[in-house]
Amino acid sequence: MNMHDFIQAFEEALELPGGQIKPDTVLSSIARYDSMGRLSVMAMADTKLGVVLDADAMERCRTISDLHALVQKPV
Amino acid sequence: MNITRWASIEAIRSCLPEKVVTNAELAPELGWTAEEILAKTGIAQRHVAGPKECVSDMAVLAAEKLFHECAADRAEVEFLILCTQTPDHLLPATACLVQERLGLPNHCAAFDINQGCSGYIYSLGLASALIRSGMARCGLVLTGDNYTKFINPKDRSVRTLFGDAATATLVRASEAPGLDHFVFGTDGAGARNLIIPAGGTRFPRGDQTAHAMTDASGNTRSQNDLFMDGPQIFSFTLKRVPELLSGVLARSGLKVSDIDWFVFHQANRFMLDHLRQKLKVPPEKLVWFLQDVGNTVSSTIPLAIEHASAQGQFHPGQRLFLAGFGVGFSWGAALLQWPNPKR
Repeated sequence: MNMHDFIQAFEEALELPGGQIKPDTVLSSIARYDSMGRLSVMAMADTKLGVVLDADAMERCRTISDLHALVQKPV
Repeated sequence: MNITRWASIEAIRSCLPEKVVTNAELAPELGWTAEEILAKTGIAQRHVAGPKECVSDMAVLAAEKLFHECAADRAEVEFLILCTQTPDHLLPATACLVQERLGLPNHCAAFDINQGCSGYIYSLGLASALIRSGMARCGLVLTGDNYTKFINPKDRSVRTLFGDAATATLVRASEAPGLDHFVFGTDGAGARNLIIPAGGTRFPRGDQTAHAMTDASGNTRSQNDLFMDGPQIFSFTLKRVPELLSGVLARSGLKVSDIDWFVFHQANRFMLDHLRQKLKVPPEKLVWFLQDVGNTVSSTIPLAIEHASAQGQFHPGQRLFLAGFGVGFSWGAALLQWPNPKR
């Protein structure tokens, strides 16, 4: 999944309006990326990519780019 | 020794504490609306045990209801398995207290098992093994938990989810297939993700363990309180529940389409919805009993079966896939062929 599609899927998972999220957006700045938001992103990665994300590895991601890299190569 | 071929569930009854806490009551305290809580969790209300209401009290009520309504004879009960993580005392086993209060025979074996969300499956597995080995013909499986006694009122990550309950299941030797194809699993590396850290011998309760802190998500709790890491639990579930299903199917030689009903541990709506889609379970085959009671830990599966059965959902010979998963991490699943009406 390329970065553009990933951002779109991320926004859909968190029910965010399109266009706000960039690759260098810091995850902790996204209010909806709370505990429930993380679950939604995990569900998205599982459904769309067949990838079960490791919660500790997700915790270590700082930006959208980091998260994108993780879903490409899950721990 | 005469080896009995099968063990089956004969009846299930439950006890829900009288006190109910609705989303409308929780909302102002937790900073969400009642509708938001329902949307996030699938839970509208939960029953909460009173300050002096212990697991034995609820379990005895559930079992008495079973004896009265199901014409079961307590003299026949040869073993009592009580599954709880919130026992009345550190010792003795709560099962011993319940044996006396129910007037079960002195030759009845009674013991606790400490498991949570997987506990009903573990208990049924043991009951089935005792019966199928010929060691006993009839036993009582009780589940009961009072997690709400260990929840910090300011921790919305768990306060919205959990409710208290107890259930009683009569398991008996049967001529027809009943419980079968058990699969179990454990990963103790997940222990820290769903835990009450203090109160045992590792961290005895004291002033230090009672000191509450607020985490980055704004939830407040102390070491005496229940802690749950939602994303860790979800990640574990996505890995292990598909293995449970494939394990049971491999042992039984069945396909997903051969299963009539799927009864999962009722953790929360989001998790069950996702699991259902992931496992390609048709929505009409998923059994729900969550909205009015919340996550009642070891009691969710028997409560869901009791409720669906009372509504006439199950028919004799239908296959139910039962799966519990959570605290431990611990998981288990089994098949239950729904019995014919009682003799």
